[in-house]
Amino acid sequence: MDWSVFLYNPVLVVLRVLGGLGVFLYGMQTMSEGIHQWAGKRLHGFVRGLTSTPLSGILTGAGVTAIVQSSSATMVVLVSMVNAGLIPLKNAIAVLMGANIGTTFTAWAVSLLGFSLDISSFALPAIALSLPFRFSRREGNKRFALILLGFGLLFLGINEMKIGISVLDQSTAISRILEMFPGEGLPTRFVFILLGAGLTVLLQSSSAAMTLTLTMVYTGHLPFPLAAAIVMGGNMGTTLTAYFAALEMSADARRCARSHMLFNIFGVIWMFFLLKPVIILVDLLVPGTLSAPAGTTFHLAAFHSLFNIANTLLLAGFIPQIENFVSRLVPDRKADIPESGSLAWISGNLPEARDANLIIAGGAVLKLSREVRVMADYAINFFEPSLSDRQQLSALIEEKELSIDSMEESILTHLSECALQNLSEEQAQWAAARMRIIGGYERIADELVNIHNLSEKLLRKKSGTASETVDQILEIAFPVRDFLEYISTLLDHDVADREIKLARTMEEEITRFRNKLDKISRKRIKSGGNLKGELLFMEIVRRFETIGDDCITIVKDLSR
Amino acid sequence: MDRPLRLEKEMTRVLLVEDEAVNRLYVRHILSRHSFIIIEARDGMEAVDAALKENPDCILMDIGLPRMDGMEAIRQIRSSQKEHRIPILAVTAHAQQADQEEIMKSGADDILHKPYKEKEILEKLQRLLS
Repeated sequence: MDWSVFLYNPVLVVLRVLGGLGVFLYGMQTMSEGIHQWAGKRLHGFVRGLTSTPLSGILTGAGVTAIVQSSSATMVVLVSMVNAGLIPLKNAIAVLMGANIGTTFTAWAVSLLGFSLDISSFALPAIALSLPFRFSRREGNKRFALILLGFGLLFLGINEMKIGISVLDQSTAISRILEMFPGEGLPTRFVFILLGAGLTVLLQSSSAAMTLTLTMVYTGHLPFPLAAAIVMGGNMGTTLTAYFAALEMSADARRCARSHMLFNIFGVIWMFFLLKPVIILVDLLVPGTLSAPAGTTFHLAAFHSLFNIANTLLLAGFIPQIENFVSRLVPDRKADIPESGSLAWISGNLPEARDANLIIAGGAVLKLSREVRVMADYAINFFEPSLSDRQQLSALIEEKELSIDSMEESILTHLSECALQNLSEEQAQWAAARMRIIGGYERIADELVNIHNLSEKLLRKKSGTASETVDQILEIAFPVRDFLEYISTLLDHDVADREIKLARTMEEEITRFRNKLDKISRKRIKSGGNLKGELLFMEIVRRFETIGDDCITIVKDLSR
Repeated sequence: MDRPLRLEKEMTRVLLVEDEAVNRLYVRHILSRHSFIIIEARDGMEAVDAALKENPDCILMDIGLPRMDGMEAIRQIRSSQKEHRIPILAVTAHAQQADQEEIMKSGADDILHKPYKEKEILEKLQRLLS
């Protein structure tokens, strides 16, 4: 039987192209997993640290995206950082502009390695090379193996796609489909932009859509203007991942995702009308000619870069206006992170999704710490002599405790879901430390409730408790409050030795106050003071000191 | 009979403008041990009223306030009291350079950053009052 009949069957060939795409996608995913394990944490450090000016934000966004090879990945991490309050929206807008530029690196790399140098003959050797590293015990080597393996698979996939499409060449399927579109006018352009957007959403990767398009351009099946339209659409489609990820997040996180979408739609609108002249410009800039569209992959890469750089130059001066606009577009919700109910969960197989979920948890712990401090404020304010309605304050404290409880619950649920993902050792330790920290805050909140109950008794006992007694309680209460506030500021970074030292002195100071107040109280009892009142006093002071101990435990968890 | 009067004369009258109850309690807790008399206001509007009515020796002005923010309150106090200048110590949680310049421009004499210790607030007040 002659199998070649089947070999050239268009359906089978299309399946072969799609299979190549599948291998490519898997390679991409494997490589980004490796890159992510190797550099993820450092890269995210850059996103937080190097974004204070628009220029540094744009460069950081471009660099990080070029390395992780996915603007969606950068965006998912970015929105979760904005959600956690780690970077302001204004800075994030600059980063997302840069992410657009960085993502164009893929087209250059694929053009150079996949089509120009024909690296596909190195694809299998790369996979072979990865083997010894794969079985190494060292983590670093395993990461390197993943990167090599992914790299090999990626170009193996591209090669399959290339072969498939050139086989398809022999049937005239593609040209027959293209003939269905009337010329290269604006309506056709519009359809191909939508096609690019749809393809990107479907494949969940603008890089994959880009590579498919490059393959078609390379084999000469796709007229260049239509390929450009697909690339433009890809720019829009790629914004959806972060958009959906941010749906359940804070207003600023949603604003950040929305800015990316609007920014890219804006670019597509002006390019829609200026595509012809821009293509002429690209033809002038890049060696080789566009009149024979086959092999013009570098032109497409140049178009992609030019498009995104131009769009950034157009809008980089208007970051405050964009911020203003999206702030009006996306109004504040009542609660940024829902106090009850679950935290936003980012699904999907991007390795960045895991980071993003951990960042979300970190932001929620930060918020929890602030809420506990507010609760401490309430408990302390109970001693305000001029307070008119003590019962109202008691109700507030109870309410706060309930909301803190449910916050703790939802963060713990979120963290245990995170733990089910494939976390790195470091990330797993981080998550475990956060769980212990939440436990610490739970104890502190409980102590505050106890302190409040004791204060109620104390103030009722001696209606007109000596202002001296109240002053002495405040003497230990305020340093405890300062301590709580100080730990809040430590939660969002790796604590330095200097900070641990400062925390220790704060704790020692609190212990000193407690000992001093204990002595004073004992003296008062000896000289015939109210025994019950003094016992309540000592108990309140002791519990404030316990909060100090819980605080130092939290600091230890942070420094581990 | 003249003893309390003499005491009144020695005590410094500070207008404390702060919207958060616990912070008011904190400042009162510190300053009442150091012969200060404290007058309180909870927002910018109350602050302007109290500054003009009570004519304090010194104002401790939080910047983030409801109704009218601290900087606007300082501007209004400065523009309606031309003959003598009450020393104003602005209190702010944001340690950003840009904010600082703006606060000083509004007419504050010095800035105290939250969270602050007893020593810091006393030193700054003494410097302003001397």
